Amino acid sequence: MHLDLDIVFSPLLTAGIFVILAISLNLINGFTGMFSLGHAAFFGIGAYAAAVYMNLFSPPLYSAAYWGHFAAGTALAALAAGVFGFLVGVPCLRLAGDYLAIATLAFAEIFKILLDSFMPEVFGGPKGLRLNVDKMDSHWAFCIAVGMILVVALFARNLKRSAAGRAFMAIRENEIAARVMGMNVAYLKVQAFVIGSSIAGMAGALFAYSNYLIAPSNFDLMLTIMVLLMIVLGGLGSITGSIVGALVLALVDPMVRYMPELAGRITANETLLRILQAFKENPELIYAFLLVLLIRLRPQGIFGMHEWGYYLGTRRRSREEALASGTAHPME
Amino acid sequence: MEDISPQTIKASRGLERDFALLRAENLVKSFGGLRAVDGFTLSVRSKELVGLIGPNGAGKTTVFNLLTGLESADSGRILFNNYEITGLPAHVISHRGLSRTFQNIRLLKNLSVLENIKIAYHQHVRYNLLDAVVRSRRFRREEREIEIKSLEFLEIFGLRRARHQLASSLPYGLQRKLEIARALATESRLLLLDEPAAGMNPRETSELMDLIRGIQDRFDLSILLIEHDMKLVMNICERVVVMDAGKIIAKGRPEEIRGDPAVIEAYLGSDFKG
Repeated sequence: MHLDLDIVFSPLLTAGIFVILAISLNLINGFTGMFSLGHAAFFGIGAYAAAVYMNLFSPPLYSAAYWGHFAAGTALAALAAGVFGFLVGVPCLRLAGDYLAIATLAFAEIFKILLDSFMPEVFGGPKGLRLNVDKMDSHWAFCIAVGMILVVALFARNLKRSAAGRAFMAIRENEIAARVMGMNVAYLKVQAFVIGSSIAGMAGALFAYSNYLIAPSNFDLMLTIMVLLMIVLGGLGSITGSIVGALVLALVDPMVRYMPELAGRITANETLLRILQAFKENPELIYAFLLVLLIRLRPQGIFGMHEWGYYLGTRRRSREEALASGTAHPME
Repeated sequence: MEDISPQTIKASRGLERDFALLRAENLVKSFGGLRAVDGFTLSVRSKELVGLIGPNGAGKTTVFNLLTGLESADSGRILFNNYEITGLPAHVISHRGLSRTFQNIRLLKNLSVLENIKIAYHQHVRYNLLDAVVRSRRFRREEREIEIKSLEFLEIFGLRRARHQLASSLPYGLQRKLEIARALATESRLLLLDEPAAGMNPRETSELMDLIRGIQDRFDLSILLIEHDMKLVMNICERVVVMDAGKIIAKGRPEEIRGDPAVIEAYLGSDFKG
């Protein structure tokens, strides 16, 4: 029974963690328009902080103490990632565009390399850090992931509709205009970066507690690229888009894995089965295919910058208003 | 204060008009070997409308960049409302009440018209991040106020019905107006307009003139504007400053400038009739 649950919930949990990562990266890359490639490092900092903290206490799984330490460990992970976000953000966010991407990428690589050799008795070295606590079952971890997603999505939505969210978007749209409108651009950029980093740290804690082992290789550039693909697919600046984009890309992998088997029960078509087998062996093909589709059909991402519901009412209304304003006369 | 002509003082309605809201003293800015601004001195009094004209490359926009803190002057002083603002960052200068528009319109293209106005209130927002995240009463009250004020501004500028449109989808003339509305919404006391009529047809230009005069009166604004449209400058400016190659070559009332031989040679062309 346990095993069956895990087959379903393990990929769902991974998808859930990706959703949190996507929303957090969207705050940095999508809302504020800073091209950061260091997100995996903040995810990793959160994971390691949470794991090291839990190893200090190693309470029995699912005991009252465990949940207390779980909450504290997650908070600590967010704090640690936020502090590093601040330390990286203050010097790096003066850089624009590609230069920021290179600087954050370098930070992520330094983090990974440092973990290989720095204090192996604490951080476990290149083989990774074992948790002294049993890993959380994926269905429970998934429930927590859903809760975290709700909180984080609500947080991001409220942020987007506030002065701070508008300021982030103003910086993305036109930094000079933002400055002249009285925005302390340097401060706001660091703020967005720290918020995004600490949410990634929280996701890292959940990742650590639902695994036996975390290793530096879990937090490589490919992870960042993956999350970046998700937010680009969903739409930069759209929270709904981040959720949908992350779910689509994170669930592609488990789906193609079972495809040949499932299809084999319905059909005996050799060619189809061979194609599905090829996809199973190279799920990247699907990503490539999706990206080509995206660029051809909807370069702004599935949701553009908008949220769920935008396309139901607002657009129709605004089009009517656009028509009306064409004849509108000013100063009347 | 040699740049205040006696005629304008006589024409002023009250004493407060003589108060120099902005004073730039001997500003110098070089880019490499080029002296873009060379000894720029100007004062703009409260509720005054001053035009800054000159041929392309005369350094007008650089003056604006120096005044708004986007670039820092090599030497010279800028006083605003009797406080020295030389070398302050752009957002601090904006907080002091100095706002501007740009020659190449700088709207937030992918945001709605309403959101474009709302960002102008950023500096006046008192609620913090936590208020925003939990949508506290303070947050909701301030956001409601911002919404009401923004819609008022859009109404004045005839943009209210377009409020949900993307800024980039507005016709060019309306984009210029939206940018002026946004600069005004920061509740600034001095507005720097960089070629507000650029790209407008004569009808739009004359509407814009009425609009600028209207808002100046209504909000007790001081305005410094760069413009190439001579009709606009001559019609609405009380005083005109002419720049050429980084230097001020003439100052005075429009009708004086019109006849100034140095100006005619440098800028208006020898066959200018007015």
